[in-house]
Amino acid sequence: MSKTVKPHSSKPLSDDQLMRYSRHIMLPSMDIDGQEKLWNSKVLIIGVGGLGCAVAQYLACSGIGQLTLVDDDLVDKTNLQRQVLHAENNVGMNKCESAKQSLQQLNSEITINTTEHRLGWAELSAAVESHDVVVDCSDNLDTRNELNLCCFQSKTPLVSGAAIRMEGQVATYTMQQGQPCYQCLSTIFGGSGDQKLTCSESGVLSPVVGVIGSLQATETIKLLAGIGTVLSSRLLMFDASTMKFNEFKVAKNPNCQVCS
Amino acid sequence: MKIHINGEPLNLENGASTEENGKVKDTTVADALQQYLSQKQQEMSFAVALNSDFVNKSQYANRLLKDGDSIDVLFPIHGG
Ligand SMILES: [Zn+2]
Repeated sequence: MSKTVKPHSSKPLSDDQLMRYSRHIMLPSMDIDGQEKLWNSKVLIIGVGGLGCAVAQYLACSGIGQLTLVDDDLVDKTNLQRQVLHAENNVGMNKCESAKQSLQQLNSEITINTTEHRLGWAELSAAVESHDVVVDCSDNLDTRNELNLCCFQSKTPLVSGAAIRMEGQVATYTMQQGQPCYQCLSTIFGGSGDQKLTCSESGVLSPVVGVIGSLQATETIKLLAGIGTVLSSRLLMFDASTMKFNEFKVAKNPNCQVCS
Repeated sequence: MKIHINGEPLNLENGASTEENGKVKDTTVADALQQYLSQKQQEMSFAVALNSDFVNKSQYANRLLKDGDSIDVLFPIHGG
C-alpha cells in the first residue's frame, strides 16, 4: 500500500489477544504478523449511519487498534431499522457517542475517538493524514468529493461505499500512481448531479447497508494487513433484488481534476 | 439485433427504421439508450458500461453495437 501502516510504536499482541484473535491468526495470509498490523492501525470512518455502523462493528471486533468516528448527526427513530449500533434508548444522542457505547461493549481494548461536528478542510486534512485508511460511509456527494481530494493529497487509501433502495457499490482507491480516484468515477456519471438520492428520500433495505459495509470492512482489513487483492480500478455493484454482483473497470481519467 | 441492457434482453430496432440514403445505419450505444431509457431518465446523470467497460458520454453516438453485447446503465448512488 502507498502509506505502509505507519511506524506508530508497534505494540506486540498479548497472550490473551493471541487467543482472542486466533480465528484471524489461523488464516495463513493473516498470521500473527497481520493481526499485529491491525492492532497498530488507525482507521477513520466518515459517517456513522447504516454503512458506518456495519463497518465499525467488524473493524472493532477485528481488533483494529484505533477507530475514529466522525458524524454530527443525532440518532433518529427512523435510523433504528438499519443502523445496528444505535440502541432504542440512544435516540437523540450523537451517533458517534451512541456507536462508541456499542463498540466498547464489543471490544473494550481498542481506542475509539469521536468527532461530533462536521470537519472543515484543515481539520479533515489533518484527520486523514493521521490515519492509515479512510472509510467513506457518508451520504452525500460533496463530502465524498472532499474526502477523495484529502485522501489523494496525503496518499491515504480510501474505501468507498454507497447504498440506496436495494442496491449498493464498493470501490477502493489506493491513491497510488496510475490508479483512479473517486472523482474519476463520478466524472463518468456527468450530468447535473442533482439527483439527490438519499436513504431518507428513497428508502433502503436494511441488510443492503450491512452487505456493503461488510465489504468495506473487508477491504480495509486487507489494506491494513497487506493481504489479498483489493478493488482498485474496479467498481463492485450489488443488486439485492436480483441478488447479483457486477464488476466494472474504472480507468484513471487523464483529465481528472484531482488525480491528473 | 439482440443485446442485454441491465440484464434484460432488448431487441434493437435496427435495419429499415434507421436506413439512411439506402444504406443501413449502424446501431450505436446512443440508439440503445434512446430506446431503453425514458425521456426523464435520459436527462438524469448516469453512466454506461459496454461489456463491463465504461463508455465516455462523448462516445455514445460513435460506439457501435453488435449482437450479444451487454450494456449496463448505472445511476449514481451516494447514500450511506
Ligand atoms: Zn481521479
